[in-house]
Amino acid sequence: MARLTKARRHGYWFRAPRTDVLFTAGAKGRAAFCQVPDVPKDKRKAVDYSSFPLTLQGELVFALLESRISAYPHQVVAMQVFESFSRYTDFFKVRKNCIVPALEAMVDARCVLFLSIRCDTC
Amino acid sequence: MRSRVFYLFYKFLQTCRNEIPVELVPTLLNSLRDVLVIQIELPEPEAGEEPEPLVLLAEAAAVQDPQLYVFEAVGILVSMLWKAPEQPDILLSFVRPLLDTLQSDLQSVKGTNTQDVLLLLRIHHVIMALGNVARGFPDFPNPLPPDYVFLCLGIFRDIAQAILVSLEAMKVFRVVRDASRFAFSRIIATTGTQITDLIPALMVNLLTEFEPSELVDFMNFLNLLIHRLQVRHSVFKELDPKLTANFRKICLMF
Repeated sequence: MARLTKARRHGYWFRAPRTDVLFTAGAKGRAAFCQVPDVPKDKRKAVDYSSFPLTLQGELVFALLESRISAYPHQVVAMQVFESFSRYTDFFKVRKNCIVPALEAMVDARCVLFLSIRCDTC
Repeated sequence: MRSRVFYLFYKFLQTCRNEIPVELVPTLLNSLRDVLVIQIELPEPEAGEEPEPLVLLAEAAAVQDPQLYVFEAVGILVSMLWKAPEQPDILLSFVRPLLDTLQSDLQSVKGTNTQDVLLLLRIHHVIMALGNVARGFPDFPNPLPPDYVFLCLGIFRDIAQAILVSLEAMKVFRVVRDASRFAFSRIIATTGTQITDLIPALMVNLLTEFEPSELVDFMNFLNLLIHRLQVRHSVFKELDPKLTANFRKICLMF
């Protein structure tokens, strides 16, 4: 009872959910990264996804790429960037022009080779 | 952390292979050459213990080598150049150093006639790497389209034959048998029925020096062969005289 009262006092019960996140929550594949209208399944491959605006998640991945934070001089930062790229590969299917910068970041001598040589410091 | 980077790079390539521009592939391949040098090291024994060298070898071979992901990434990238007539040359530029290393190590092991575990470990790693390069290529189609052309088939055949020669020379060592089984399962997925003539020799060499603990792996390998190749009766008929004696020997172990 005390816990319930505390929750009500702090507004936990009445905090409105973020509709923009809820609107895209649960979207899978390309639809998670760009605002796609309903397209019949047999025509999905012919659609040009690059013309649709990005969702919040798509913008976050784009910002991650554009910031070039993978060049930060610590391996943990680069690792987390690469984890995100590998997890959200559907983003690169809706923004194909972002693949080259992502690959450049991965094979940059300061990243893959640097990490392969300096693995002892992990 | 190094192992994770290799895995992430491979996973990214595997998922986005259809979106990567083909013009970028040679640049990516050249940037990977430095990372393909096989480094071998034995695990350090516990303080106060002096395990047998072969025990250390088995421990080292059992560890998942993250570098295999890079070899598979090379296979993926080379397979994307299927329209280019120079695809076999590019593949050969990556495979040739591995084959040369394998050949020189075999000669060293035969010449000295000692159990140099570092050489054996390198042979194991090279065979696994060759198998993983094949894994990066798409599966051989079944049924075969009439206009299907696989420019690198000859190279994979040479790889399979090199592995067979290594197995024939080193079949007494479990790590070489395991690596050969691993590599062949991947090469067969890529070449399909084109190397079935090498399978009888492979089976005989795998079964000649057989340990009971290998039975599960061998049965899985047999299942894979039957599934991949849709092996016909004729192949087993050819294998039968050579395998019967060996199967009888295996059954007597239990």
